[in-house]
Amino acid sequence: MKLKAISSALLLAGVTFGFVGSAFAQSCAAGPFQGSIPTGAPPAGVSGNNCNNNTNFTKICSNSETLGGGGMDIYQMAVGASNNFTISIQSAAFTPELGFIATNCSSNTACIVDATIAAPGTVTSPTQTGLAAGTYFIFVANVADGNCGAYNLSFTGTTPVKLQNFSVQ
Amino acid sequence: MKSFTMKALAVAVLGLAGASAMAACPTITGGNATPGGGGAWTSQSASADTTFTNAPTGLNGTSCALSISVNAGALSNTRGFVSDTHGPSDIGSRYRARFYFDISALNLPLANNQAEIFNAFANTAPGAAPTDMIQMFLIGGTKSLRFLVADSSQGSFYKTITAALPASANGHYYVEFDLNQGAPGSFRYWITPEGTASADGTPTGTYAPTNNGWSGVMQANLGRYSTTVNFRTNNVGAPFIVDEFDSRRQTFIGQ
Repeated sequence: MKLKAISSALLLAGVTFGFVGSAFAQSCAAGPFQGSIPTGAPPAGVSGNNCNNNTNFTKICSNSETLGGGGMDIYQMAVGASNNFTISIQSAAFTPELGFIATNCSSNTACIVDATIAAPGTVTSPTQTGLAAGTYFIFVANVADGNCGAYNLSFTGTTPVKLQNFSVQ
Repeated sequence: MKSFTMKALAVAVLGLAGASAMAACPTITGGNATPGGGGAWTSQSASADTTFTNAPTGLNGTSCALSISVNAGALSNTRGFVSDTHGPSDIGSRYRARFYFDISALNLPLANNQAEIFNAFANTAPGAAPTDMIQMFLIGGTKSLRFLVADSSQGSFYKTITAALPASANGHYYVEFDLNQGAPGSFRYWITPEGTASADGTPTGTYAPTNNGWSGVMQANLGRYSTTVNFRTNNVGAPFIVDEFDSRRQTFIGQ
């Protein structure tokens, strides 16, 4: 087997979170975040509805997961230096896909967590610990089919968080 | 024409002239890893419901290959792939790649048995277009490869090209493509059974996409992901095998 690979670092130069209009098609530039979760005490459950949100995204997780098309919510999350937490999504309306990425809010970014379940219900991430402090993003999506709808996003653990400036679109 | 081999990190080169086959295959294990694929790839992503390991033998006469199987009860995000990430100096307007694959163990009775096996994406794309520049899917029924080629002249931003796989005695195939950006650019592809010669001047098919708005391939994924439920149901434990990936800027790679 000869597997030939580029070994250089991920190309991130020139890519920001994209709060201004740009050509970063499958980035967060074209869709506002559904919430911002800063470092602090764990929040209570957050309710949302992802229908028709951020449909500029057709894929996530290094463009390897094809989204169902119903919509995806995005949360920006600040993670402190000491962290040990899980993230859960519960929905009776769709089969939840939980994506969790660092730094660059784009379909190109590799997922730290890429988790789903077999049917509507609750998906929970593995425990996240030892993460570098910084900005992360949570995707509330569906890769099983095109369904979307209401969900609850919740956390357990020591970091995050306290919910601030939350709005549902 | 100058040949620019993007990178060559041989994982396990066996059967060197006059040498005994003592070199070890890389040990490929599941999960996420950096580097990936036993060491030569930038990274890998393999879910717990995918068996991601060494194949018993390689393709095209090699001794090692990557084997990816769906486990029983696999979920919609089941995946197993290696990634080849390019640094800024490696990104250009032309990208050629080749690999071998083995579908002999797969059960693909209908066209709704589908899996993505390769994609290469850019850092940026024009307007609202996705960043993928080329996607490759394995299609069941009349077994085919389906290319989605970035093309801003299409309403969907992609031209769909479906090419039936030729007859193969052992289910082993070679696929190569040459993607050149422009307005128009060019896309050429070659598909043959393993061992059947191919030539730069005689591609299996061609197309002229408008793809100058993408910023050039910055990462390629190779493996098995984005599967349909029918693919997963029909292929529990059946390995899909890939080998001999090579990518270049200018020169034809061939068999």
